Amino acid sequence: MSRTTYLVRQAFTSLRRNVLVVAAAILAVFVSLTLAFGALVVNELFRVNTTRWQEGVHVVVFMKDDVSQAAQLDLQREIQAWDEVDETSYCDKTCAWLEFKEMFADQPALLEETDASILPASIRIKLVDVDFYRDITFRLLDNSAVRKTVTAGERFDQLSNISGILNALGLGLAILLGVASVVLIANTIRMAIYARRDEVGVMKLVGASNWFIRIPFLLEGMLQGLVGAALAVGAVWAGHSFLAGLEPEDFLIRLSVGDGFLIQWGILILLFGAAAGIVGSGLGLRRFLRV
Amino acid sequence: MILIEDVTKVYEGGIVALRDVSLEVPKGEFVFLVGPSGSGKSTLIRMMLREERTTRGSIWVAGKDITKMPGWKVPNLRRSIGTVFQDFKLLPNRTVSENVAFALEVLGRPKAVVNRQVAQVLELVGLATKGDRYPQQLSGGEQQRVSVARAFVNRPPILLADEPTGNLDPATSVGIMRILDRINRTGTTVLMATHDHAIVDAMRRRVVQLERGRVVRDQSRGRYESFRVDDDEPLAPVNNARVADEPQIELPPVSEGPAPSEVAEPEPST
Repeated sequence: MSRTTYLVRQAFTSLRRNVLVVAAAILAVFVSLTLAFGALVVNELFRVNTTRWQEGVHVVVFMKDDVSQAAQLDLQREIQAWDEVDETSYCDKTCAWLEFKEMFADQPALLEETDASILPASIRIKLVDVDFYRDITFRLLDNSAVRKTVTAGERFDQLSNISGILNALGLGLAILLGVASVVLIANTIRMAIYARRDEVGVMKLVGASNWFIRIPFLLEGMLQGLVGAALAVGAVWAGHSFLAGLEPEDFLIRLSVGDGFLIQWGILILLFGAAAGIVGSGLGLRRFLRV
Repeated sequence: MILIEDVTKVYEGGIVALRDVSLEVPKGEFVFLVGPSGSGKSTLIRMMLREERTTRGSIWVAGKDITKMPGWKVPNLRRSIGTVFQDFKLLPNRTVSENVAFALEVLGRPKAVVNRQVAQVLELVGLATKGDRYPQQLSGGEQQRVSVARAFVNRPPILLADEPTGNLDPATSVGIMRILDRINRTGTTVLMATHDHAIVDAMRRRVVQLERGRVVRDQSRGRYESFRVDDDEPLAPVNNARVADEPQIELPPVSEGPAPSEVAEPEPST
């Protein structure tokens, strides 16, 4: 027991001794993992928001609640008759609620709180050619039964492209910074060993086992990685909460991913930070502590 | 206890530190390793600790060939060997007690055992009242006694000392030698590299002389100065002159301290 406390105490003492370098290492882990985690969340947001479009739906027309269902079906028939339209389908409030439940299956609290009646009915339109979406939207603009028209089309493709580029950039940067943080951790561990070289020398002399000498340094590196990762998870969580606060009440567009997603990936990010710390200190230890 | 067989050590760059050195040290013996600087004394000691690898030959310690020992077993080897150096190697930010206790703590001994053994060994080296001092508050002789206490606190069967009196004045050196002698009487094998003529001549123990990496003399109850075994040529006169100038010190008899068996209480196996 006293042996464990000894090892942990050593790690903390060492961390306190070179605050600046440790701060740099933690910062590098923090930035790199924030980027990586942020990219993951944006990706997920994108996926959640585009599920609808993936079945070839090009335009979604959300209906006003005060319009009778008969009138809505009339409108569907009218749209179906247009030349540019290939197919239409109608999704009433029940259907919207079912869809909503499916989308938010991982957030039971949200489902509990949401009033099924605020979700609008909609008509989904598949066009003969995607390029007609402008005409359709324009034609529906003045219709008194329509609350809002949302389209995929060009913008969807553009968004998809931009998001792909951003993701690649973010991921590339995250990997670069990830490597940098491992190297920085290795460096702090080297300094820590140098600061304690007399002690390490005596430990070797009196026959302390190799792992007994190494563990405080490994712990130290792991702590640096873990703290950086925790900060990253905190930052992304805060950013996500802020975004989720801006989410419109009727969920026409989603700005939040489920808590389940955040928790699952948050834990993975923490583990990744700890692993990066251990790898870093392992690199730092490699040359110094040969018997 | 220690068996050195035809050991040769060539450092990088072709410097030959030891040539075909063979030496047997039975359990409980006290051996002086003498010879000029660069004759290979320290290399030999470092190889017994596996801080250096042999180029050829083998070294057996307590029945094991340490030249073929895997790296992860080396810490175990070092636990069975206490070491004392000319420069003490004490940690300045720890008190005397903490310095000695450190050797046991890093082996994971329980606190109660550590406290008991530290108190015993500080008593043995005569520093029982100075446990709370820091190394820089002690004289050189006292610091070396702390270092001896640390080397012996784990009751190793072997004690290696590399010029332990090299930084000390003659009178202080006698104090250290009395402690090493007492440790030897508990059954510990002691191997000491030294330049100290007076000590060697006063103790009259086995003397192994190295010169340019070879054993040139191995004599029981020997003196520091001698003649070369191979060609009967006397050593350089300058050495003899220095010997003559050194004050002759009689090593006082060991005082009646605790009986060796009490001191060397076997530690509980872990």
